[in-house]
Amino acid sequence: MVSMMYTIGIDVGGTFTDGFLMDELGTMVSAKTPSTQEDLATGVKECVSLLAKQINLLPRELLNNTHLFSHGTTVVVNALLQYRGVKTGLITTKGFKNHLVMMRVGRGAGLPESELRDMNRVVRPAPIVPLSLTEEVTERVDREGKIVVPLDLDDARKAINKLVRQRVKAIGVSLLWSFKNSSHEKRVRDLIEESYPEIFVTTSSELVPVSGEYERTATTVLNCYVSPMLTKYLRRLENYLRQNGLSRDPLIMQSLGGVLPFSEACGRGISALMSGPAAGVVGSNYLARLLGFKNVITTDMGGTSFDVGVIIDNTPLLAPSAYSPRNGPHIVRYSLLLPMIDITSIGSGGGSIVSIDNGEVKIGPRSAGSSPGPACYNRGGIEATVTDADLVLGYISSESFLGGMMQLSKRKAIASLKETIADPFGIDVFDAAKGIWKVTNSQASDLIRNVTVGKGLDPHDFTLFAFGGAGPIHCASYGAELGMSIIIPQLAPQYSAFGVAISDLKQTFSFSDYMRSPFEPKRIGSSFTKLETRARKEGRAWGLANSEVRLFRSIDMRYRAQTNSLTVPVPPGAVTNKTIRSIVMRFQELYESRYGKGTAYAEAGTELTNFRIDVVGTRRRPQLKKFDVNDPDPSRALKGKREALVEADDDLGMTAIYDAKRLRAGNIIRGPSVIESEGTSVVLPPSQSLLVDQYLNFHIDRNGDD
Amino acid sequence: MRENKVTDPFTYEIVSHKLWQITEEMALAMKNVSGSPIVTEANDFNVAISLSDGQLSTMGAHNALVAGVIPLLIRNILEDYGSGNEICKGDMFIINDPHKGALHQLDLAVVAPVHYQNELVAWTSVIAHEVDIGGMQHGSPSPKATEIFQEGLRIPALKLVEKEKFQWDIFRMILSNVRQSGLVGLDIKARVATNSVGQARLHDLFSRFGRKVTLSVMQGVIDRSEKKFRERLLELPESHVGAIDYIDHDGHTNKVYKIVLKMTKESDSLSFDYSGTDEQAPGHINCTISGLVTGVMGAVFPYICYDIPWNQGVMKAISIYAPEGSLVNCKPPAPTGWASIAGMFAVRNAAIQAVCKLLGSSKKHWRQAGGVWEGGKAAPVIMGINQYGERSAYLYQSSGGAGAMAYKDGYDCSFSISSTKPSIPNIETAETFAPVLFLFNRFRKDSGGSGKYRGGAALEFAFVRHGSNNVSVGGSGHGAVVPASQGIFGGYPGGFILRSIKRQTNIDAILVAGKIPQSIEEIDGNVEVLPAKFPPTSLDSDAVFYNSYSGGGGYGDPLDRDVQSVLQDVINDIVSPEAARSIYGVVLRRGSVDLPMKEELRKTIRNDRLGV
Repeated sequence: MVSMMYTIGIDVGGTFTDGFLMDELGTMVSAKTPSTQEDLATGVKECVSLLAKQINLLPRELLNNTHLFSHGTTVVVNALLQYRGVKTGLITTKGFKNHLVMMRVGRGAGLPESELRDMNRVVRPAPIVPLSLTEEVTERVDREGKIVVPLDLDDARKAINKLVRQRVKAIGVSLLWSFKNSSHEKRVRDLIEESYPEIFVTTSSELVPVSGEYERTATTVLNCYVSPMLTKYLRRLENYLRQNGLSRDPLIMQSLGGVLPFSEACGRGISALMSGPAAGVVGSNYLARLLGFKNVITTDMGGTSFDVGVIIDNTPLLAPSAYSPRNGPHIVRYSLLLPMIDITSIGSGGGSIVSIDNGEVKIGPRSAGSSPGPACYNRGGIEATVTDADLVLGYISSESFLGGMMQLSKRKAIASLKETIADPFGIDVFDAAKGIWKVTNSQASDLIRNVTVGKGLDPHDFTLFAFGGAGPIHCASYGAELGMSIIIPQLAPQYSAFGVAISDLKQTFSFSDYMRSPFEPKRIGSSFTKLETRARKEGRAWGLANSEVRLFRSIDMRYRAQTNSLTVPVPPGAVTNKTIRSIVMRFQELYESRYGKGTAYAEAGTELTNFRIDVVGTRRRPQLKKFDVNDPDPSRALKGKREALVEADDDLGMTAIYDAKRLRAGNIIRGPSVIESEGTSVVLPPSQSLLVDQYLNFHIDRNGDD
Repeated sequence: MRENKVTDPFTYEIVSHKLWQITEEMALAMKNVSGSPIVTEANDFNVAISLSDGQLSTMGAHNALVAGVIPLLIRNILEDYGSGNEICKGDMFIINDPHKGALHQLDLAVVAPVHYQNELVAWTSVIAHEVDIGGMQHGSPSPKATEIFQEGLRIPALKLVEKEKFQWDIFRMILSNVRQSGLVGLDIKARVATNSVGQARLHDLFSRFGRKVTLSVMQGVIDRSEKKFRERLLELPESHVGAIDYIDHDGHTNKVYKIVLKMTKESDSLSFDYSGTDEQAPGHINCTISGLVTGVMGAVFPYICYDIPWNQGVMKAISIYAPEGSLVNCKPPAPTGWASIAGMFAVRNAAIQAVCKLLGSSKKHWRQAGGVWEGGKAAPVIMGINQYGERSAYLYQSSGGAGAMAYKDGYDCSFSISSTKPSIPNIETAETFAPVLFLFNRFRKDSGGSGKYRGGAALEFAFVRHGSNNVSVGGSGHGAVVPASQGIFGGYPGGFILRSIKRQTNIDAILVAGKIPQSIEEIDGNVEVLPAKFPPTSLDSDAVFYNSYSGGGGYGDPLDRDVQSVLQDVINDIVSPEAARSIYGVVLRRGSVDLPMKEELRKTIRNDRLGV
């Protein structure tokens, strides 16, 4: 007889599917199983079984007693990266059919800086919708939403029929200025649905009613391309879960950093693009609140990439809009106009391959992945990777890697380093490994600097969270360079699954309405009222009571004729001239804090571009379990000693090795030491010490800095 | 040439990455503080780090054209300030004089010395295009100008910041001479902030890694580029290569000017000699030595150095000459207002032709050869009273096409080759800021130069005025009577720039009838074809303005083009069926290629060429 209620989070990653489970008392259990690329749902089911087994239940018993089941998936990102979405057509305004292919030039869009100067890279991505599946319809709306030329229905029918004849499965409808007047797009949608109800349709005005036709069109067709696949996948998974006893609506993680019921998420598949990375940031924010940190930099170092996110005032920073001065989010080099958590990545993780290019050492972006994996995996990999260097430096154990699931070959690691790096440079293997370690950490800290300083932020005002399989190994070093305090969450290797599990329900509604100062309070007020009606409806669709749903207003504002716009929160209630004055003041404060004193350009006047409502549904969830704080002595967790590099400019020395499982709240470890846990280890240099907190997270600080 | 032994390869990687990182931080500071869409959206600016003697070490990832300018600017500062004796810690110099290293007055540079332990060790700099710098016309360069003095303020190297003290007198003097002074003022402050970031971060780098290591990496970056570049030159055949390019219209008369280049590749060096180029013009198309160097490097960097970092090392292996008083090395008082899109463009277009002939003759590097990119710009300025009742001038940047390469078609809608991360505005953005309504905006059929590989297509668009009774359009471009993007090895040149106004049209009646015209020919009225340069011309309510950029040059004989590619281009409306037949020798029947007909036709065309 089971009486406990469970919360489950399952996150599918590129290599592993991670599971997380928590009961009402805050007891946590995690699981890891290889992702099953042929059918991702298989790995999810396996993960559920593994979780159930650990608490001595059958999967059915577990699901029967699960009140929250949340899921993050790579279905959408894979469909795009592998071009496996459904055949999609586009209907657009007469005279503008090239706009999607044209990409507003787009030569550098989504390319790393290092490739921008190579003409051989000046190639367009394979089209999501080729010109042969793009149809124009006679219609034109102007900037004020007035109809200049009415929609030609015959034209529209012809366009639809032509696409259907070419067997499209989905049609995106994106017309000029549709966010000011959506009647033409709606009419086209009706025409499609009347004759071809089986075709999936997205109109740009319902998905992203925001100015900028290229980005709006790209987002619309990408949504068409992936949504039918996501729907199919989620239906199958939901059937399995329901048949096995789950009675609640399963939820899926969105790039915005919240979850949505499967049924709500199906029509907007593109919003699930970055669900895993977003979950890591959301999980960090949850923990940051609990521990009393307001500003956090999240760093996730996995097998292939190093991902950095930013939390300010316990709010994850969203990516800049796609056409803002800073690059907005891209996928397969197309720009996206969706609010999503801002994640900046470089191809530098444990599996990143180290090579010599024109006499210079390069780390990544190529990765050995999990197959063949680093040379030390002994699965046929011969090129040296960051993990091979970590092994040679004594940071990971060849026996207890992944909880002993895998034996690592130090011999192979040494051979790969010798052949690919040490011999060509005429140095010894140990110096090569040391060099790789330094370069990896230095570039990680350069990226953190770039992300923070580039946004006008000072890294010293932030606490660093480090997770992912390789994050805890490297963080003390890349964090120290920036002088930051570091938190390693207890479940660092499965952190995204944790984030998925604790995410709130969240959705955003926005639209563009360009206005110049002086502003009319009435027009602003009615814009918010309109959005709030939609947002409340969404809350009801989640099955939540009004008290469980919170709405947040904001607007995008900028100085006239400038492009640096900022999102400014707007108080609830009636909008008056006084409200407007306070919004403009808030904008000026934000502007100067972001861009520096004296940069405000008030004489230009201000303008508004977008209105937004965030709707958040808070879920009841168990509290994390607190442990009693013991004395600082960690000696019961001491496993022994082995040789490891303790100081970056030194030689190998005997270093204490601790077992993370046996550490207790309150323990303090001084560097140099290595703390091994299932799935990762923590490297602690001599100048730093580590404290185990009451939730069993690790806090790393410089010695003597209390 | 010496090999660097001060640092191990890992330290080299760490420090050189940090130098790159500093340019990134400088660029972000510029974007953050600047209010100008030229900087924040079009990325028309760049930053750099140089050694104390002015050698360019590391440059940011934006407009590549600054590479030619920065060493000249620093050399001029060193000369003007007593060989550097009067250059103090905490100084910053502001310069825009085309005879002191700048390209044209609109490109305003702020350059700052970096001192470490009281010794000048490096320079940081930022150059960005300004919206206005004074002069006879809003936006500064004017086709009416006959002297440089009419094109705005000329600022030699002045200390805008002296020993960390901002010189308000100089700042105010500049602002009282420019239009949109608020925006220009903010942009100048942005340049100061950018250099402050650069100075501070470089100082940190010197403190952390020491003077010796840091300088050796900065020099090492240059030495490695030089070594790689010279090695590449050795792999290319010894040769003399000629090239000619043209500029039509000097702002006053529709005259064609000739730019002549003789390039010599000898051992591991490359020289560019522009003797024979026409004398300087009485209009704004000339460039000074800065434009000359910039133009040459604008060809050498992308074509030869696609995998070599762009810095002084490459420039060391190159010599450049043009007679003083010629169009590409002009003397005062010749105007230089549009050096950036005229004189410098022509220097670059000629250099691209020569460099590509050289590359194309190499067994190893033939794949890098290609046709000229977007040889002429044709951006219209929409002026008058906008829909909000304000006086305004909106420069609408559209795009031409890329040159084809030896193995691939040119990129359609590519923008200038020298911008590494360009973007053009959405139509919804343009219609928000300018009182116009676009009828179409798309790839222009047959604008990409024909060839075995086709040059990239240019865009064409048409608009009517919308929401204002006071709208006029003006423009300065070139390539209206001589194609500006040459093809190579039998490839055709890219299409001309095209601009026209159709007046007294029936456009209202067409729209009221529920139609949207898709070409200027579908509209009745009197057409006025516009020359390469035309002063602001008023748009009546029934006038339609049409505009197109130049396409990219083609590569190789169009008769060698794969027929399926021709078919695809016809289906996509990038090549017309007539051009497919007459230029490519390909006839289409019901959506597929008539193969026997193709063989016959191609034979006929070949015979016609031989006159048999």
